[in-house]
Amino acid sequence: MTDIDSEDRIDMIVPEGSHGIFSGISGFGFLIDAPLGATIREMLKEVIGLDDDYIRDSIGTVLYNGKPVDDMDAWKIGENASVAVSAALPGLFGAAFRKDGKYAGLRPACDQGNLSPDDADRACENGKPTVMLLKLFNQSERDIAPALLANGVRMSAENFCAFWENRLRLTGAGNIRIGLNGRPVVPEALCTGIGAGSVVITLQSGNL
Amino acid sequence: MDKILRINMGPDGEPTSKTEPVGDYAGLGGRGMTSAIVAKEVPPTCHPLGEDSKLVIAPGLLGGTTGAMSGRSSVGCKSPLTGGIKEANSGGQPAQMLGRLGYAALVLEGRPKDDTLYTIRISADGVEIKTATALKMKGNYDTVENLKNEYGDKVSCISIGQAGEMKLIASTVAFTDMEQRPARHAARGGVGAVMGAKGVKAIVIDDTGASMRSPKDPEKFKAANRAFVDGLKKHPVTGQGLPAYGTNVLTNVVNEAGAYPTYNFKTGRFDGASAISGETQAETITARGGKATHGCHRGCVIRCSGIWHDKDGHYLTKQPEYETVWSHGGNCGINDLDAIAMLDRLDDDYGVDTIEMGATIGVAMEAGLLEFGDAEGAINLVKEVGKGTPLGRILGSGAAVTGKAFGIERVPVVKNQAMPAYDPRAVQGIGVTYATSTMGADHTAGYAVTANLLGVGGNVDPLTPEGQVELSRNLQYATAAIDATGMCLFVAFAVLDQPETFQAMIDMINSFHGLELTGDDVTALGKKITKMERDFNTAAGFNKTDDRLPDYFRKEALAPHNVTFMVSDDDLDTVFSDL
Repeated sequence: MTDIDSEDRIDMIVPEGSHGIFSGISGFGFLIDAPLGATIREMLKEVIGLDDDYIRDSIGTVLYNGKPVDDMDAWKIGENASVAVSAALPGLFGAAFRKDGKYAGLRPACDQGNLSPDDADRACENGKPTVMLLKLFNQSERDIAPALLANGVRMSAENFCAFWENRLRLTGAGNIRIGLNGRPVVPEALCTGIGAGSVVITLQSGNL
Repeated sequence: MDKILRINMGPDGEPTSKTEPVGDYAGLGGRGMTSAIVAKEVPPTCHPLGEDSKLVIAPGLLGGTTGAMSGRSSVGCKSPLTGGIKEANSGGQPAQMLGRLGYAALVLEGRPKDDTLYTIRISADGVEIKTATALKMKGNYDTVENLKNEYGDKVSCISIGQAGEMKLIASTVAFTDMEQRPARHAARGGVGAVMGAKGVKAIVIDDTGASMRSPKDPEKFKAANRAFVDGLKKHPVTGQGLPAYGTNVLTNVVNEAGAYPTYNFKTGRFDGASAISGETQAETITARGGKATHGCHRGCVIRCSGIWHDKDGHYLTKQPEYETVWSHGGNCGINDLDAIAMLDRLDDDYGVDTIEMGATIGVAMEAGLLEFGDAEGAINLVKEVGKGTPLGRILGSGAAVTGKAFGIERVPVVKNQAMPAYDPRAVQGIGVTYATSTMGADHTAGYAVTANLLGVGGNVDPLTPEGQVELSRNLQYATAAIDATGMCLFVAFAVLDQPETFQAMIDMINSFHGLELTGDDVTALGKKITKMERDFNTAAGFNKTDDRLPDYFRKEALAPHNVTFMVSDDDLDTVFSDL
């Protein structure tokens, strides 16, 4: 793995109902093209395809660069942004980090967003494409990741291989057909055949 | 549950038992019962392992009923780890069986004259106490297997492993689960050492012939129970997140938030978190033929536990919980779920607290005994505890002792008890609870986020420092009250968000006992319990300087957000100013 600008294409087919082996993949981060300056809500709706009801009712916690987000209209996607999305979480931590929750006071400080005057001054840059990291956790992953994977989603090769090697070590790949840049490859050899840049993974169901 | 069973392990000849009416302790259960007995009957300055100390085991107010989620057992004593009062609770089957047999509490008193070990069998026919020489220095799994062979597969067991026998102060009391495995533990504070000091290896509970306890108002109880279950099932945390992923659902998000204590609390993020997350864990369990959704006792409808199989598909341990995955995982730089599961199994078998052991190994890594990330080395260290080597005895005495033995300053403890899996610099309100809890650093002490519901406990602005302190106080009161019911604390998520579920919980207690409790009464109960515990600790020699986090939490900024703990000592001192 030497070419950091490389982009490899991985096509995977698993039997219907066997997507579970990809559980946890989005915790390693998907690389998403998003318009610079879009709010988190706009990104989730227009880039990821979520609807208002889902965002309101099913997303419990959102983190922007690791900071809890209460108002998704008050945070804009900046350069090198990382957005993490989770369903409601247990415990005092879950209550404290719930979006717009009444126990937000248990956090160290409450950031109110990043819509500062500086951001407004850069409005001319709004709309310019940027690459952000999207992490989907727990039920949010189950709900959102399958569609992203079906359409093809990008990850850093390093993060994908961290996920893949861990999965192989824990359970093996199971019944799966893998193509790397159009050529069949065995699961154990997958990460030795890809470059150091990024990978685009497509996951489909089908007969093997 | 109108009687208390007292067993005196100290008299000449043989231990004796007597059953007496519940008397002044009527109306108490769980933590309310254990703390009341300890506060009233145990001299605060006594040695926790001495003859004046007592170990109390109590089901909750709804133990032995058909009430959902009511199967927790509380274990109370003067803690040999903290030196203060202790209540640690556990799932498993014993609480339901003790309740059905009519016992509101079991109290172990006195101290044997020699090192004879005993088993105690409690049934509808009475109490039988036998020597247990054959069980000496056996792990919990072997112990329970022996008891199963002797008493059958319908009994439940409360036992200690080698650590409890050696009176190591990180030792636990194990409770068998639905599969009769000793996988549930009252883990914190060294309660196992107190049981070991009483010379009791195991308590076998046989409820053959006993029936379910009957409510005062059966119809109302049934309706309240149904409403309570419906509320739990419809809530996204108790109905979806916890059943699907267990408590380890927290790993990824706590890590992303920079609140995941890593490398012995050096940083707030662990690169290997996703590899040990609940999402990865649940899929691994399913693929290996284990169970990713499983109750820790009958009557549990949340079912956040699970069963972990090894790579060959054989049972190894219960699904390691978030705290365990963190303590042995990120805190020690270990990103291998199989190694973490093995550590969990060893902890359960020897009978040591997984939080305390993980924190202790982190301190040992800091001291240079092994490298962070050395999974095999960590397993070998825990085995030292089981063998009772000099090093193992130090490690089995917890993080504070280990830190002192190796001259380490960064030791994450309060009142000598190791901190759980949330860095207090990133979640300051949890830090307030760590500092001021009567139990030592304890994430569950302020877990029950019910205090402000329906205006109970007053309305505070949680965005102010004052509000944060008041919030921690109210949470601690609410938690103490829920611990008294014997209900799993995880019910708190549903009652936080759903007033009708909170009301259903109170209706269950009222209809069962013929009471008219209100939400304010629940808070008052929690306040009463907390006051008893604080008074005990004060009499044991604690003062406000014990309600502090270690200095380095104020001095060392936690990456990635570069925060320190900022709640002032003056604010901490106001947490219980109303008591």
